[in-house]
Order: sequence, then structure tokens, then C-alpha cells
Amino acid sequence: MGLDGRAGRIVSYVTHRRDASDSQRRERAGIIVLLKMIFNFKKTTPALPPRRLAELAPGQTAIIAKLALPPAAAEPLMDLGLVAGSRVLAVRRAPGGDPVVYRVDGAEIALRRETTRHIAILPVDEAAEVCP
Amino acid sequence: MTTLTAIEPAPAVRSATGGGRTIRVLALVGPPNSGKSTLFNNLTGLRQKVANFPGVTVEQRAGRMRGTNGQALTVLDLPGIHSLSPHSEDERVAADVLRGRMPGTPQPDAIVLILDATHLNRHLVLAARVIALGLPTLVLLNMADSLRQQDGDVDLVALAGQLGTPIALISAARGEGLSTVRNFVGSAGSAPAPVELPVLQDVRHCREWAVRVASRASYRRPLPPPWSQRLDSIFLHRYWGPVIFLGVVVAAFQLIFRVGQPLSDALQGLLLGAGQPLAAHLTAGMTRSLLMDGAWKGMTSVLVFLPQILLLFLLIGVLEDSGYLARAAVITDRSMAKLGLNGKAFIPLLSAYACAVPAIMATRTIENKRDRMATILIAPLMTCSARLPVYTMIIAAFVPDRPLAGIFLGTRAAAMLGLYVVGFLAAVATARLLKSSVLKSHSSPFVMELPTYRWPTLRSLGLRLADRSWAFASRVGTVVLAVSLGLALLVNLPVHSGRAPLEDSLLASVGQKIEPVIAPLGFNWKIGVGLVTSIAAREVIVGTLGTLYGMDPGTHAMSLQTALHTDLTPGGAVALLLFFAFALQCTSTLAVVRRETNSWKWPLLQFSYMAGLAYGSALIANQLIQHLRV
Repeated sequence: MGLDGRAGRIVSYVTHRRDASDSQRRERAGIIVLLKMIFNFKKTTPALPPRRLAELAPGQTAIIAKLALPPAAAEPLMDLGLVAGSRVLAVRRAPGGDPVVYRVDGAEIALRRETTRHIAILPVDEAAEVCP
Repeated sequence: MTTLTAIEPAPAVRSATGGGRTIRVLALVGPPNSGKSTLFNNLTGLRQKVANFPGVTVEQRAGRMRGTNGQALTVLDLPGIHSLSPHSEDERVAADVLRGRMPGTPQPDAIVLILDATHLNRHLVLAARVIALGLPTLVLLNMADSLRQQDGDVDLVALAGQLGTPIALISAARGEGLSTVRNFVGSAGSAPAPVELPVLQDVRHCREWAVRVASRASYRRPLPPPWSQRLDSIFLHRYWGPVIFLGVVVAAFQLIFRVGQPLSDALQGLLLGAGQPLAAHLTAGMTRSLLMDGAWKGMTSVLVFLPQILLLFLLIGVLEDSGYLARAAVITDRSMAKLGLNGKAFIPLLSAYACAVPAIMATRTIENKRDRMATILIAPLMTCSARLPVYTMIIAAFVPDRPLAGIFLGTRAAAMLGLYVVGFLAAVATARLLKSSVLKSHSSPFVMELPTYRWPTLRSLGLRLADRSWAFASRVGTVVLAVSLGLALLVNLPVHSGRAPLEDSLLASVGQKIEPVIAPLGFNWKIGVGLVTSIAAREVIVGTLGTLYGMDPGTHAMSLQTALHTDLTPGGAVALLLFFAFALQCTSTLAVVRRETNSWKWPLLQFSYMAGLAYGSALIANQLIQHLRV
């Protein structure tokens, strides 16, 4: 696969995100990833990092970017520590694969996929660049 | 733990205002699972359910305690909350009480805020909101023992300065540091010193503030104990998790029969023995017949089920307090989601296995009104502990005790398990029906906190069982006694000389009037009378049948099980089991649904729906079995 193929995939990923309302920070983060990949493509061939909490595999850590949920649904989650900027670790999946147990702020909470697919995340290293 | 008085903020930052006020009403506030109810129990000596399961306190409770200088004051235990925003019923209740806007509840003069010392970053957000109310506040950091054991630390002096309130580290479960509360109320607390607080509406700002405060107090979060992690890797294992869950459920039923039945038999022997000298004091005649054959037989036939009910509550208690129940919720959530049920409905539905009344009150944690209504409507279909005596009586009379799978599962335990499954399936079907029609809605997100595993304390389990025994015994002493005496009186009317056949009594003639309605179900008039009296409470039918068979010369000498076996066809027995699985025979449930929904429409609808379901399924079962046997 050449540069065109992958760049095309990345561009389509950036432009076809389901949430048009995502913040500018998300846009910038997306562009930074894009630029990084284009300039580093010879050295490494990284897989696309997970963008939603639902895609985070057990054992991986990420930073919460945004909760794309109505306030009534988002606030109980925010009270538990799921706010933009906090670090979240996917601990383990329940036997059926759903819900997934996450560790946030030292506590473990189980969330359904129907919720976590509305939670945008950033990789840890990249979040440090975007919001220091 | 030697801290006896709370660490006060430095005098320089102390507020000059306030002070000298007498505290009469004290409110306990804290996030779910922070040990608030344990503290309440320890302070007031009042029994209150304590569980290692978020969301147990569903309504505010009041108790009384004494301060150091002997003054009596009221302690309010508020629901566990994370914030004071009005998204769910329980947070609204807490916020209204604290602001003095709850009718019938006095505004608190002071607040004791209890936070989990092992989750300080998260819990300090609530501290900001509570301190902003401006009432004298004592902040308690609970689980001091866990904090120390797991290598955590916090500088109390610095934290007191940051929050402007007195602070103490306590361990409510071990009863350590409780004197700080008494000292606090004795010293007539002053309003919090003015400190920098975050913009309360901005959750993110609040959290940044909390993290800053915690780091200035050099808070070091304890590491989660590795054994809790290891237990989770087994209990939530892909294959072992569900296997263990099923094993736990089956073992619970097996225990209730294997251990409960012999205990119940022993209690029966004891009660029969106790009745002998009593009977000897009474001369034969109407009074003796009323008291011994009527009231005593009716009461003892219900009382003998106490061991089974206590075992059920002991098992639920161990599972709740240890933290396993939260894992069970995670394991079963996928199935719940498929059924269209709100994740939060799991907690009330689970407690409905003990009793529907607290379950219906626990639905207040469900934010979505329609979801809440659906949960209220299906809760009474879950098999509550009041059905246990009825089921046990009929199963013991009709199902021979044989092993099905070695020592692991007997026929009787299997029959009981089947009835629990039937109730659950009816609840699920009803939920689907409601959710696809009148109560259609989008469900709110499922969030389940997984508490660290803890050893259940004997003290908490003991209090729970004592509380339950008292509730059960007082029901036997009131409702069952009154019904049994009333029935015994009706059986003896009109007055005959000597012992008249039961069929000639006033009660029988009333009972025979309703017989045509219930005959297709395979019930005779005695069962019919039981169905009517058990509208008060399900277990009353056992007492009623105890009285009726006890006063019938034909079955006078038999045990209740034998009498039932001779008087009822197998079809009728199955029909009776199904009738009790579905019918809403409980005035307490109707009353609480009326209160929670604020209308008679829902309880009446619920009663008619469940009565129809009960009658229909009993009719089908009896007719089917009759035709198959012929």
C-alpha cells in the first residue's frame, strides 16, 4: 500500500466522522495525527489509534476528549470522573464483551458500549500536545 | 486510630461569623458507597440497611443521637449523591432537604459530609457543593484503615485549611473516630471559613479545583488492592464468570432447602411443644378452639418459615456487602440490555427478590420517568420473600424430595428455581410489552461502580437479620393473628352445641359462594378463602389454611402439608403456585406504588393486570394437567 492509499483512508476518516459537532480541538488533533503519519510514514506504519472509548482495548490507556451525550446523560458520568482531560484505562470486558470495566480516577466503573461509543478519546502522548 | 477531635482549620482562616448556634438537626451527606449508612447506624443505633452496593439509601431516614454535652439531636441520613443537580429523584431529595425546602423535614443546622478517603479526588467535588451551602460542616474521610493499608496518605491540616472546615479521618465500619461527630455537635460548629470555591455549574472546573485541593493536601491515592483485581479476573472471567454466577444462584436455592427445611422442621416441633402446656390450661370448648386451633395454628404455620426467610436475607446480605452483587450486575447486564431494560433497573429489580416495597422506592435513582414507571410495574413480578412460605408449603406437599443432579440440585430446589424463573420471565415479557407501547423511551446510560471487595461484617449481617426477624414476627403477631382469629370465629358461627362439621359454618357458606369462580382453577372454597385473606399479604394464606385445616375435624390431626395433599389435586397445586407467582397479593406494594406514582391509576392497573395473568395461567395449567391425566 502506497502513500495515496493510506492518506486517502486518513482523509476520509477525518472528514467522515459521524459527529460534525466535535470541537475544534478534535479537528486539530486529527490534523496533527494526519501530519505525523504523512511525515513519518517511512519509518513506522502505525495503526489508526482508537478514537472512541468503545474502541479502546483492555489494557490500553487514553485521555477523554469529549462526551457527545445529552447533559442529562453526561452529568452522571462526569460526576464519576469522566471529564475531558481525565485519564481512563480499559480494565476488562464483561463475559459477553459488553459492558467494559474502566478505571477512572482510581475507581472502577462498568459502561455499556452504547454509551462509550459517544465518548471521544485521544492517545495519551497526543493529548499532552493538544492540551498541555 | 487515636484522633478524637477533628482537625480544625487554622484560627486565621476561621470564620468570625457563626458559632454559638445550637445544633438540633444534623444531616449526613456523602456519595454512594462511602459508608454513610454505617456511620448513621453507629451514631444512632438505628438499624439501616448497609451494603457494598451503590445506591442503597433511597429515602432519607431520621434517627436520634446525643452530643458530648448530652443534648439530643435528630440525624438525617440522605441518599448517596455525587452532586446536588436535580437529574435524579434522590439527588433532588438531598438538595431539597439541605436547603430546607423539603416539606415535613426541618432544615439541618449542620452537615456531616462523609467522603471515601480512597477516592478523594472524585469525592471532593461534592465537598465544594456542600460547603457552598454555608452551613456548619464537618468533613469525615472514611475508610482510614484502607487508606493506610494500601499506602495512601493525606495531610489533614492542609486539607482543613483548603476546605475551611474541620476534618477527621475515621473508619465507620470499625467504629473508629465516631467521637469527632459528638464533639462537633457539642462545640456548636461555625459556618465554613471563606475559601476559594470553584464555579459549581462547571463540572470540569469543579474537578480541577478538587484535584488542586487534593494535591495541596499532599494526597496520595491508595493503590487498589491486588487481590480485588485478581478476584475480578476470576468473577468476570469470560467462561468462569457466568459459571460461578449460575453456581452461586443454584447454591443459594439448594441452601434454602437443604439447611432451611430441617431448621424449619425443628422450629415447628418447638412451637408445637410450646402449644401443649398452653392448651392444657384451657378447657375444651369454644375459647380453646378459637385460640389453639384457630389463632395458634394460623400463626405457627407462618412462623415456621422464618429460617428460610432469614437464610435468604443472609445470602443476599453476604453477596451485597462483599461487593459480588455489583459484579453480578455487570455479568447480567448484556441480557438486561437485550430485554430493553434500563441498566439502573437492575438494582431495584434485584432487591425485589427480597421485597417489592423497598425495590419500588429504589427506582428513584432512575432518571428517566418512563423507565422508572416500567420498573415499578414489573417489580412485584419478581419472586419476593413473602412468596417463599407459600411456595415451600405447596412444594413440600406435592413434590417428592429426590436428587436431580447428585447433591447439587434436588427436585424441590429445582421446582423453586423454576418458579423464580417463571416470575422473572413474566417480568421480562411485561417490560417488553410496556416499553414497546405506552412507555417507549430512550434509556439513560448504564453506569455501575465496582466497589473493592470487602469482608461482610458480622455486625452488619446480624443487624440485618434481627431487623428482618422483627418485621416478620410483627406481621405474624398482627395481620396473621387478626385474620386467623377472625376466621376461627366465622368458622364457629352459627353457634352449635358440640363440634359441627366445617361445611355448615358461616365462613363455609361465604366461601362456597365464590367457589364457582375458582373451581375451574382446581381450587375449593378453603383455598378461595385463603386467596381473599392473602390480599393483605401473601403469607397470610398459609396461616389461613393452617386455621381452616386445623378446625376441620377431617384434617384436624394432619400436618398442613398432608392436609393440603389430600385436599388439592396436582393440577390445583400447580395452578395455586402459578397464581401466587403472578398475583399482586400485597397491600403494602399497592400503597407504595400509589405513593410513588401519586395516583390510583397505576396501582389499580397493575393489580388488575397481575390478577388477570394469575387467573389465566392458573386456569390453563389446571385444565391442561386435568386433561393430560385423564
